[in-house]
Amino acid sequence: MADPTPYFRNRYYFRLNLRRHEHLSTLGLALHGRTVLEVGAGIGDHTEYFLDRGCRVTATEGREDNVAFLAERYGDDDRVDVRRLDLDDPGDGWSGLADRWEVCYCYGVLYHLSRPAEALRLLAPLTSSMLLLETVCAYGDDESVNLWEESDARCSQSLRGTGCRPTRAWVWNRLGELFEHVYVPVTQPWHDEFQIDWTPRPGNQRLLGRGVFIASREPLTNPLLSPELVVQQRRG
Amino acid sequence: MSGSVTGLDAVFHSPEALRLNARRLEHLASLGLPVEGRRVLEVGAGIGDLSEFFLDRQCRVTVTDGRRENVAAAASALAHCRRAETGFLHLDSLPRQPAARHEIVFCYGVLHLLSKPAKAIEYMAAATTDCLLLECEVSFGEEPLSRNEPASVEGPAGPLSGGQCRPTRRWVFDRLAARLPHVYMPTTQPCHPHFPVDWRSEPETASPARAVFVASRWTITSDRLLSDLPSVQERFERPVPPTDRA
Repeated sequence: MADPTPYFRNRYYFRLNLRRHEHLSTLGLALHGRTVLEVGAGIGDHTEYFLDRGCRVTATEGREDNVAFLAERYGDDDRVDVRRLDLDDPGDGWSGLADRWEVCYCYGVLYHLSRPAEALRLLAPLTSSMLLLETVCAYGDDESVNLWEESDARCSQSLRGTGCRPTRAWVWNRLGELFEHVYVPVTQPWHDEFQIDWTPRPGNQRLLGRGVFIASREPLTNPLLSPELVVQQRRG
Repeated sequence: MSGSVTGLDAVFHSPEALRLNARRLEHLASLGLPVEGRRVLEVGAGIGDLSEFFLDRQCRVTVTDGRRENVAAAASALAHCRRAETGFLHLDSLPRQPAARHEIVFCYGVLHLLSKPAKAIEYMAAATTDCLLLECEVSFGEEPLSRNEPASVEGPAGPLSGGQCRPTRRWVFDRLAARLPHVYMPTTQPCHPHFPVDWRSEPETASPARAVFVASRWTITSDRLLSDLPSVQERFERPVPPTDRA
């Protein structure tokens, strides 16, 4: 088993995770006390965000190394259920599962998948309230999934060496097919990987940025969430 | 230097430390204070793990600590950022006057590690042109007391002077109010067990009790801040509109 910690315990990830969670906190979503399905949980550094809000978390990972780490870390915590879930090849155990979670948390995962549409189709019926999604996106108005070569040797990257860099329109429309309501925050985290101007310009088709999406079963009345895929965002 | 970077990482980047920092900064972000682009003096910064909260918000940050090995590690970690400068500042052995004034003084997780907290508050108040953001361990109780204690933690994140203190919230509030005209406490507490929400009686658990204070030269209009000590706070959940500065 490889030690996954160097891939997750470094200042790049510390900073990225802090800015992500500060932003998520400012959105004021009703997350306290929920049941949460966390996918691509890595070594569980995001899991505590929900545990500290009184949630019960099913923390899932595709990599055996990370699953073993999660089991060691949370084995004695009855609020956490650790399971293996390979989103590119979930097997029969997950599709058609009767279990439901109020919140599905999918931060930093989708772009590491080679079959992101199938993953969203798997997760949607498991989600009874809202799906929180953060992913790297490509610029562009079109619906492109943009498969992308990644290193499969890194515990924080794709399992099979192929990820994707979908356009925001692709993510938006896939979520819209699966959930009654889809929003993007009007704000973006205070981190330079989160673009605030998504205007397509000549020459930036290969540019990447991170975006946050909230897909919900119920309408959300929240001035920080836009029901349209806004091109201009601000920091917040 | 007595502490290697690896050794410092083990202290400052332990799972417990990372968790505490995350909950603190999520809470600070939720207060909606206008910090973007400000000049910040960070005291007791350790190896600079909280500094990027301000650097990512386009602030210029003077990152200080009372241990030279921490200052060196912070300088190395933040070398890529031109808006960060590092320096040595020992909060239990302060000069009479600050060398420079900053819009914001940021003092999280430090005051209770000092043997002379009143002097430190006096210095930090003099160093700010706008506001002082302070978080520390406190004692339960209504009286304005600060109890001195022997150091309970050693190492790069522990007290510098062999002594530490556990002031009550009232003591901190009154010391701040003696130096700055407006003192506030958040209506909310971070989502972490070190931050109690009911201050009416001391719980039986041995967990530290922490509190957040905002002291300002100006009135801050925010539905997230109270101008006195609340006996009960809540966990934050709701979105907050941008804060106006009167």
